[in-house]
Amino acid sequence: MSFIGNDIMFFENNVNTFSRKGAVNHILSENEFTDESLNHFPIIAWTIKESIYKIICKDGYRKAFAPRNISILKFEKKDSSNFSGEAIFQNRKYFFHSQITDKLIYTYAGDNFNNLSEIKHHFFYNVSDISNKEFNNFLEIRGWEINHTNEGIPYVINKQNIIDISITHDNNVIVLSEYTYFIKE
Amino acid sequence: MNNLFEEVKDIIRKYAFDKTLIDNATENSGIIADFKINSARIVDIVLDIEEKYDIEIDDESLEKIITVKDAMNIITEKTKA
Repeated sequence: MSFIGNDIMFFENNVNTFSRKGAVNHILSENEFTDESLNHFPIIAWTIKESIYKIICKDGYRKAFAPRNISILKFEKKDSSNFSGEAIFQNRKYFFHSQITDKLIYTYAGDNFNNLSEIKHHFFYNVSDISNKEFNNFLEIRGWEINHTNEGIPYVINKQNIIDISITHDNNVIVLSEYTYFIKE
Repeated sequence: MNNLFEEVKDIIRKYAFDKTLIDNATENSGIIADFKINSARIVDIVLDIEEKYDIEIDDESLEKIITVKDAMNIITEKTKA
């Protein structure tokens, strides 16, 4: 089964946290890739690792998120707003793509590079949490039932297709990513 | 132990959107799963714990902290050392 993960972070909500003394030491290892030319690289790295953490939890990992257990191997700028790369966890590679604006970073990841372009992303604005009516209507129309792993990672039970979803939320924006990898006859 | 439970709850409460979830917490409450805390606030919680108890939480300890009790156990372990 192929899993995906995503994470969105608004810089204004998080810059204070990631500027705290000692914060970066919990996110990046000493010899790990870093890009000091990018403002907010620790926040970018967090979204990459959090996206991948969501994948590994759905794949059976049962421990809490420790960002330094996931290492960024490759980080390439496609242009000023788009980055992509690879990270590794327990000798397994994961692939990510990040989109950055002056306000936010949005990252999504998969365990298969070829699947990344097939992931669909649904943005919901002015949404305080997942009890929102518009968001739940979206799920209901698709016949999706959301469950959570013990670590709080959502996954969907779907009667028609084999899909994986990932949900992220910050600053009244929810993003639901979906990847359909098998359609039942 | 009861004091440590209240102290840890007070640290987490600062970052919870819904404080009543913390008021009703048990030691087995999941910090992310049950309190609906933004996962990035874990950084704040860990740093606050390190500052308050003058300890360092390494990666091996960090990956054990899923519930309030897990956090309490790490604090107890690190402060005894």
